[in-house]
Amino acid sequence: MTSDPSDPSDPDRPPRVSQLPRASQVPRASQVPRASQVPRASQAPSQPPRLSHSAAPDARELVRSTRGDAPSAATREMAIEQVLLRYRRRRTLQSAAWVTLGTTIALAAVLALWLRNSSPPETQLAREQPPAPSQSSAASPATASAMNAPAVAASAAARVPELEPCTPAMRAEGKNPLIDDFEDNDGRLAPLERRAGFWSASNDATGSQRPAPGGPLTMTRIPGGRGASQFALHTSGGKFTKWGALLAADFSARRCYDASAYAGLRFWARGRGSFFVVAKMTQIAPEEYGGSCTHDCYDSHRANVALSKDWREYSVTWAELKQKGFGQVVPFDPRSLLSLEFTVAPEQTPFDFWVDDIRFSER
Amino acid sequence: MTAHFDFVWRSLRRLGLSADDADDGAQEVFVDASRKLSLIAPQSEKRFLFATALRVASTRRRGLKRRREEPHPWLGEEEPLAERERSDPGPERLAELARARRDLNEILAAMKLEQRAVFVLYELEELTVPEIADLLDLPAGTVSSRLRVAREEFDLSLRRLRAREQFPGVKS
Repeated sequence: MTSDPSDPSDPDRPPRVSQLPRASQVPRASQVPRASQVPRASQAPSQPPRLSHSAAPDARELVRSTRGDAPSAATREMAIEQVLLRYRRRRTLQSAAWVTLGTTIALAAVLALWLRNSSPPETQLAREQPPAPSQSSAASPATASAMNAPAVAASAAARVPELEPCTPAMRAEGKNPLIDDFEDNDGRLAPLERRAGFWSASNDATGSQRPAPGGPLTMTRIPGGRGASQFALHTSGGKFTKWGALLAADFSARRCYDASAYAGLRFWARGRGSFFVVAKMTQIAPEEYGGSCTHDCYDSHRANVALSKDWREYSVTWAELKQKGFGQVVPFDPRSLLSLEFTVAPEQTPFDFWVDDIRFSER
Repeated sequence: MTAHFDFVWRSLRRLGLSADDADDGAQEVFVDASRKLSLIAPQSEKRFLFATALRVASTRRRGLKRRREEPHPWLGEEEPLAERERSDPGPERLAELARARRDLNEILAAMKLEQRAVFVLYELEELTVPEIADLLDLPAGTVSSRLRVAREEFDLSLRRLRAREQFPGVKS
C-alpha cells in the first residue's frame, strides 16, 4: 500500500511550498549560535535510557554483571595505607628540605656579614687602579727625567701582578703637603694629615755614616741658613759595598699611607754625586719591617737625583719612580706607601748631601 | 578516600586493566593526587581522580603493548565477583555471571578508550550526561555523541559474540 500525496492526514506527505518558511524567517548560518556560545546545560540532549533498564535481556545481563564490583577490603586498605605512608614521607622530606634551605641561607647570610665586617673599607680602595701617569705630571724646576733615572730592567706591563689589599690605610686629604721642614728639630715628620714617622739612618755596615744608625736622628743647622730655613737633614759617609746607606722615615708607623691625593714629591737638596729618592710601598717591604712582601723584596720604586753643590728644588712625580728590576715586580701605587727614603747605592759612595723642605707636590 | 578509591579502582578495571594493575594503578592515582592536593579545586576531586585514572590506564595499556603482552590479559582470568553476588553464590548463577563478565570485558576491550570511558561512566557507573561532561571536561553534546557510538559498537560486538557462539566455525 502506498500513501496518497494529496492526503493531508498522511504524516509522510511533503509540505507544500506555501507551508515552507520564508527565506527571511530562516536564520542565517552566522545567526546560529556557535556551540561554544551555547551554555552547556542547554546543549545536553535528553538522556537515552540505560542499557541496564531498556536493552535486551542478554545485554542487560552483561551490564548488570559488574554492579557492586569493588576491590577487596584488604587491597583497599593496603593501597590507602601505602598512599598515606608516601604522603607522610614526602611531607617529612619537604619539611627537612625547607629547614635545610633555611639553615643554609641563614649560615650564608652570617658568613657574608662576617666577611663584610672583617674587611675594612680600604680593601676596595686598594683594589682600584692607580692614577694614570699623565695625570701625575707637575711643574718642576728639575724633573727626575733630567736626573738620569735608571730604566727598569724589564717591561712589567705584561707581568704586573694583582696588588694585595693594603690595610689599614691612613689617607692624606691633599691639603697639607708638607712632610717635614726640620725647623722643629725633633726628628719626626710634621704631624699633618696623620703622618707620624721618625727619621732614622741606616746602612749595610760595610762603611761609615754620620749620623750613625741606631740613635735618634738630630737635624743639622744649615751653615748660613737657606733663606728662612735653619735646619735640614744631613748625612755623609764613606764607601759601602753591599747596598749602601740611607735616611728614612715611615709615613705612619708601619701602616699603609695613602698619598694618592698628591702627584709626587718635592724637596730641596744639595751635595755631591747623586742619591735615590725612594717611596717604599708596603708590598715591597718584608713583614718584619711592616710590609707584606714574602720573597724578592726591597726592589723599591725610586728616582735618581743628580745633586749640585748649591741648593736646588727637585720634583719627582709618582710616574717617574721605577723599580731597579731585581725583585718582585709591583706596579707603583701611591695608596700603599710605607716610608720615604734618601738612599745611596755603593756606586754612589762616598756621599755627602743635605735635604730640606720635603713635601708632596700637589696636583 | 575509601569511596573514591572504589570508584577509581572500578574505573581502572573497566578501562582495561587487570586486577593487579588496577591495584597498582589506583595507588598511583592517589599518590599523584596527594602530590597535587593544593591544585585540586574543592568539589572537583572526582573529576581529577577520573582524569588521572584515565591517564594511568592509558599509560599502562601502552606499556602492555610495548612489552608485546596480550593487551587485555585479564580477559581470561577469573573475575572477582561483586560483594552482593558473593553472599549468594549459587553455582549456576556464578557461572552465568562469570560468563557475562568475560563477554562484557571482551566487548569493552574492542572500544576506543574515549568511547569506553563514556560508556563505562554512563552504563556501569550510572552517571548522568551532564555529570560525565563535567567529569571529562567535555561538552554534553560530545558526551552524547561518544555514548551513541559506544552503544552502537556494544550492540554490534554483542551480536558478533552471540553469532560466534551459535556458529563456532564461522568468522564474523
